Amino acid sequence: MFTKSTQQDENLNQYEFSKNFASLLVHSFKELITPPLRISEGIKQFHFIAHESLFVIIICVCFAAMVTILESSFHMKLVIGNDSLVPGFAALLILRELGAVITGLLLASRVGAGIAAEIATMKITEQIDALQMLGVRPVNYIVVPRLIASVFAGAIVTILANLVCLLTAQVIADIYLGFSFEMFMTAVKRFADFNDLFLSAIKGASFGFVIPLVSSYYGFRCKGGAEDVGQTTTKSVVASSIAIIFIDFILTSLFSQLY
Amino acid sequence: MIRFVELSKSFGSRTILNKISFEVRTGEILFILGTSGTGKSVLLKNLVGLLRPDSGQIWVDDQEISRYSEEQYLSIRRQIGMVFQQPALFDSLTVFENVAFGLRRLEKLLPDELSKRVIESLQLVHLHQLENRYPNELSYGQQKRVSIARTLALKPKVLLFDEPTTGLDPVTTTTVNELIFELSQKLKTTSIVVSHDMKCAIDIAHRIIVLDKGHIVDQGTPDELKKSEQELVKEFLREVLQTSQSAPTKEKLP
Repeated sequence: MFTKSTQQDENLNQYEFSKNFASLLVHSFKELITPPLRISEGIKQFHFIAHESLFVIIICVCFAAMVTILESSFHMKLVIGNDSLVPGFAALLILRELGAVITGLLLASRVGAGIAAEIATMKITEQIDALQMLGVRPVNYIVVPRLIASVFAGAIVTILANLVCLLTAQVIADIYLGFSFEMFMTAVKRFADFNDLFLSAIKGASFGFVIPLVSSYYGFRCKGGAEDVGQTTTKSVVASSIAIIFIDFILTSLFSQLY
Repeated sequence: MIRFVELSKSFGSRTILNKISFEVRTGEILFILGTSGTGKSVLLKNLVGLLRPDSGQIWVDDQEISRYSEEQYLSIRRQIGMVFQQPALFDSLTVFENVAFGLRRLEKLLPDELSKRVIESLQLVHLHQLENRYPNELSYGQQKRVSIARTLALKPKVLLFDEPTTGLDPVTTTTVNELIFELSQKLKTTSIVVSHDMKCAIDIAHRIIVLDKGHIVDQGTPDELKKSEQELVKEFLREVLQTSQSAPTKEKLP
């Protein structure tokens, strides 16, 4: 996914940090602990990532919750003859997978695309060169505020998405399957606990960490014109999405030892 | 004084600069001419550390800088300002903020001093009424001049201009060329101008270097180059002749 091609070699190996993904990762960690920290820019980015993405994410997780409840009920009735386990099963699925992954993928397509396009445009219009000439370190100035904001936003939005998703599941379970609020919550508590929500937030934070890094990586490597900005954006969304699925697998494997 | 010694730079299998050697004298306006893709911009970016040479040396006064770290290059970039091919202004900042951007980071100035320096820089490029506008509210030529003001604000000893008139109409081109000459006279800076505009080079350069396929094919004063036997130089001169025959007459700069 992040291997260098001849074309990329020619892509002005001008920023040490963008030579490969590992360089950008190391460079970003270094810049995270090097002043100045652009706190106001971080807050602005948090608003953009968390607040402005929230509506889209809530809509999507609501529908995901509806589908989860109805599909679970249908298949359980088919296999074991009743759907009494639906609330607990749906809660586990939502808390351990759906909430975090849907949030991550939506953030990748909305926020990741934005970051990649912004940096790519800055690159091709020589704004990044100009920053360096004016004594600014591009990773410190551009990547770090987005990285910090995205980690926090990823975690917080994932928690909110999970709670809304559960609430929607409860409403649908009540309307379509006849589970009252008490019945639903009792079943949920039997299967899931606070730990699931906490680990889900860690997944969200991890996705929030990888999205700006992957997007910045592609942005910094962009060259050419408007068409290349488009291609850069597409590549960054695809790579971020694959990275999210991969990280989800790794974290789920790790967390399965803790459940 | 700036000296390039056997400087080479390749991208992959493509050699852009092949053992280029020349010097830039203090206070002069040096034009580097060549067709597109001959490595003119790469040469400038090597000088300020935005690109690193594969081999060769770059001397600024008595320091060899080509192997400097990014931190060490900061001091070089204080002495050498670069105006890019594109205005490279920050869209979300006003003209004032764009010009003040480098000053805020590199010089600890009081607000009054900062404001004075910004206005002075904008006055040098004749744009002091537009400080509250955003880049997208300016014409391309005005954006270019703001970009020059941003570079001037840091009071560099050397100014690098990367294709300063690309994309400009003939009238604005003349204005920018006059500005380069005027700044060199007023501020006593050394200027290196990368261009493919022979007419402008003849008008304002003290010396001209012509690059082709990674090599210097000719160099000298404008009068010396007019007698050049090099085919590329002759071609550039033919274009100047055609332009001056078809275009309205412009006063030659002093």
